[in-house]
Amino acid sequence: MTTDSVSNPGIQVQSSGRSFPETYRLIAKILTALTVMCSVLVLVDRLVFFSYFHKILPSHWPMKTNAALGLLISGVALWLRQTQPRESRIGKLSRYFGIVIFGLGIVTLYEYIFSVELGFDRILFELMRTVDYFPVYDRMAPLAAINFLLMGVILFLYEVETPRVILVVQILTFFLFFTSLVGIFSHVYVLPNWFGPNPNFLSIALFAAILFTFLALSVLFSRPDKGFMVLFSDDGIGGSLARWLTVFSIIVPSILDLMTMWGERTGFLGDNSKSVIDISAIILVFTFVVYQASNWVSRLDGERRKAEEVLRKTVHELERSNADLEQFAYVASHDLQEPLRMIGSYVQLLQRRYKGKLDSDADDFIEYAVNGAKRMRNLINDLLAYSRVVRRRKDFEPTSFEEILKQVEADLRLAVQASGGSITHEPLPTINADPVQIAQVLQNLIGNALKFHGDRPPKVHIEAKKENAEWVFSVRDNGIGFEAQYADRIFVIFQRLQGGEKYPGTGIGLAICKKIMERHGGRIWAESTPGEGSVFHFAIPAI
Amino acid sequence: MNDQISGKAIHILIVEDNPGDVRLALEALKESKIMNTMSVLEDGAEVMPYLRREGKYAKALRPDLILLDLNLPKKDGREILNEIKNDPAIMTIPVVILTTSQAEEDILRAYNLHANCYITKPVDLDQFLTVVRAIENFWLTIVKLPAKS
Repeated sequence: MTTDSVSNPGIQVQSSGRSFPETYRLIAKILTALTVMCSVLVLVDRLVFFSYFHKILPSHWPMKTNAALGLLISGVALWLRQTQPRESRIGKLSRYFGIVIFGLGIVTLYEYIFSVELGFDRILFELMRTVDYFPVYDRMAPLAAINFLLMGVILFLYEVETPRVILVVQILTFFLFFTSLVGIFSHVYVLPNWFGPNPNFLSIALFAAILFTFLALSVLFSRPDKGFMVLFSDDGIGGSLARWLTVFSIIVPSILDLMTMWGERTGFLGDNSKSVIDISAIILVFTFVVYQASNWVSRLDGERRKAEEVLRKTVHELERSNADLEQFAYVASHDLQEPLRMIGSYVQLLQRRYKGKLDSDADDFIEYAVNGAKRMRNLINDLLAYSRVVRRRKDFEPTSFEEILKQVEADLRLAVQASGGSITHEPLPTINADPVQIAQVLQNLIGNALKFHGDRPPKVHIEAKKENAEWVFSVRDNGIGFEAQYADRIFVIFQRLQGGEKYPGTGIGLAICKKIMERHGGRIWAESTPGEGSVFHFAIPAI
Repeated sequence: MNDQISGKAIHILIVEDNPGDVRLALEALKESKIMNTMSVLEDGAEVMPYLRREGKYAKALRPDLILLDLNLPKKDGREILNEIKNDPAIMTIPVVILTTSQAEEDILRAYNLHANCYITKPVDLDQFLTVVRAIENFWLTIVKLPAKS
């Protein structure tokens, strides 16, 4: 059995350059590496240079040392996951790193919620406390703590590769990405105007928020072939739609809003006109996007409908030509019988009346003609039997294969006795099928097994196994067998491997079996070792 | 005519358009021990006039057995069968359908029209001869039929 994969000519496959999954994995590694490098830089800056780094990258809120440590651990854990084999011991360390990160987040949140100061934030970096703004606090922002909670769960679950868990991880990562974006935007809108003594909920360092988005994107990109990322890796139109719309819907509102805010701050835009312009512009832009996307979908839909129409017509044509062929085979073989009967009968009559009365040549010629007519008669009968598989079909009904086998054994009793052979079988199931045709298949296969035996008396064994959604039956014999190269050929109508008088026949039996199996939505195949025996398998869907 | 009344000779009507088949049947019956005479009609439309002794068939013999093919020119064997079996004067004559058709619907239809039996022509000569003789033997010696009126 060969399974040819059918390629869809309508879909263009990227022939040059990297595929999307490869590119995404590369991006993921770069982002992880960047996160690790940056957090190391911040820590070194804190420990050695006393926040020089902060001075060259000014921010209203500096990154806290424990946040930098948390980002470093997260980055390293992710890096291990992305570079080490799944089962390796070092790779599994990331799970423990995840627990540490989760702990970091939960303890920080605990401090916020119950207004306690555990000193946790200063244990390691007491000496390095260089923050000028709020000397009391060296505690990361609540938003950062929530981000670490999410990151901890993500790292903990990352090695579980069931589809559901992967989807959960991706959704959590999406939330992480979202909260990080909130952190970044807070630097534009909230924090510059914040002068309270205590940190705001959103007072995450800009740099930390950026690194969190790196981590989130890295987690998403590291598994581009799983969960909802499959859509983003798609080479087709769905994939490019997803990619473009996502980038578009993140960038366009951000840029628009930054521009109007700049206009407002420079006094170019009057009171409240920012909101008016924002909302109008966003409506304008998204109307355009919706139009473009719908246009795309509508075009695709049109193409699909056209393709469906073509397919429907082709199926119809095929059905018709198939029916024509069957009708043709029946009519041809049926109508051929009439003249053949004349030829056969009169040649036989000649033989009866004039054998020995003409010369010996004439007797030979008549003999050849008689034999030819007989062979042709057999062929036509077989052709009729073959076309009857479709013409004389019955509805499927629950069919006991045990019962059918009993009937077939009774029919073949004489053949079994003559060959000195035996038929044995395992318990057989009851399946929805056409009982008459199933009997025909068993009769043909067992009949062949009895017929094609060597010097040993034939032993035929029948068994059935349930494999996935189908029952696979096997008819095994110890006969003469055949060479593997003929395994397909034997099922072609009128194809024979054995000729002559020892094994008479036309070569229709297996072709009929194949046709019956096709009608049952099943298949039939054979394997054999010459001289040792053959096994014929047929599989029928188990309702 | 006298033979007929005394029952010595039997008259068989063969309705068959294929001369080859007619000849085969004749050859088979020729070897028979029963004294018989045969008439052959190749045209379906002539059968009813023949049986009713109309026109040129005024002196036709009433057959003891009819061998009827189904596929005939002008008038189909099925129509002929229907007319015979609906005519009280001739409905008692046994009609044997002898045809190539193995179709279930043909068989069923023939019996629905009260055919006396339905036989598919064997392809093999020996079998054909056997069948023709069996028909003759069964219908003309074994079976008791009503006396001719």
